[in-house]
Amino acid sequence: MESTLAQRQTLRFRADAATGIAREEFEEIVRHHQRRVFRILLSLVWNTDTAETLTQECFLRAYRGRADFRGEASVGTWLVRIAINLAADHGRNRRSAFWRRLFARPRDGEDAVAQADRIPDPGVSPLRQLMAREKLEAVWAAAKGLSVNQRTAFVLRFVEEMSLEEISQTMEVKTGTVKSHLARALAAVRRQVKEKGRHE
Amino acid sequence: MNEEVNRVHLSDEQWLDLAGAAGDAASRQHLAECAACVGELAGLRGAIEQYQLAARKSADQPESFWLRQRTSAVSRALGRRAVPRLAWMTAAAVVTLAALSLVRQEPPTKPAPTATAQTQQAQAESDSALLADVQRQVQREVPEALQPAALLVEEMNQHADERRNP
Repeated sequence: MESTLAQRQTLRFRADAATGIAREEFEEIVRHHQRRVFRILLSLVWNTDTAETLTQECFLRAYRGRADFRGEASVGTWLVRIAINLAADHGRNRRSAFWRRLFARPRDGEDAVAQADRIPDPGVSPLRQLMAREKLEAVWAAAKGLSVNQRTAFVLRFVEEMSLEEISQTMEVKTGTVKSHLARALAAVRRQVKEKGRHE
Repeated sequence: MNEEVNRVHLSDEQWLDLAGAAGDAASRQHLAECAACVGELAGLRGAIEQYQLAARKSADQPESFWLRQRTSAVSRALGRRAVPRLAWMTAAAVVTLAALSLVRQEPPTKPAPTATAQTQQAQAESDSALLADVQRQVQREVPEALQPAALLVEEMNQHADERRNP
């Protein structure tokens, strides 16, 4: 049933590149995938507003770039790919904003540290609030130190429960590379869980 | 004690397999003999489960949120393209029609001053006649409809006067 729907959407989206798409059909695609796209983005950016903005951007990019969609992967995989690229871009922009602020001339006696403090703290997101328990803190602490690719692979594997092949297809890397990202991510989590266990 | 220290534990790849699934035979064999790895695996799986739960729960939103997001996403993708195209087509049609009407329309002819004066004079005369007629109607003692009866009464009165004063 699920695969039939995915196949139908894939075919429709491919055909659409040349013929156009009805509002109802595009709305159906959004309805079918929006929760997953939003959840993945929220797990990657840790901010509800940003995740919502990026979710909308994801569908907009998908629509505008539908001519590039060749149907090799499902619409769902393609959308998640766009979403993780958006999250990576967002992370890069945040980092570059941090450095720009850090090296910008302080205004009105304000020091660089105070300016850097204005960078939104992901810790205030609902996800962070839920992470009160020790085990969550461990994963959280580990996730903070992961690279974008490691964190993405970790979220796709352990939040979305995607297979290694699906992750490989989504991230457009080899399965071996996915395994490598995941092994490093998991090692970091294990270290944190052990650390927390020792303090208990 | 020495046996525990020298034991070769699970590799990163084996941990990866075990974290999300049952793992291979060698991993299971090791777990059957190593209490430390069993404890660590339980802690790791619990942490991942909590993280998954928290991530899914934090993404839970009311239906209104999804509807708003969907409407906005669809409008941004489809609406912005459709509206300007329609607007441009409408604007182009209006401009074309306006240009055509300007080209085809002859300059309006102003009425000659004498004709205007004549019209005004005729209007004034017509108004005067109407007023005079109204005046006559008002001054009339008997309404027009009762005029024959009035004549009859007048004749009868005349006869009566002649009889009294022959």
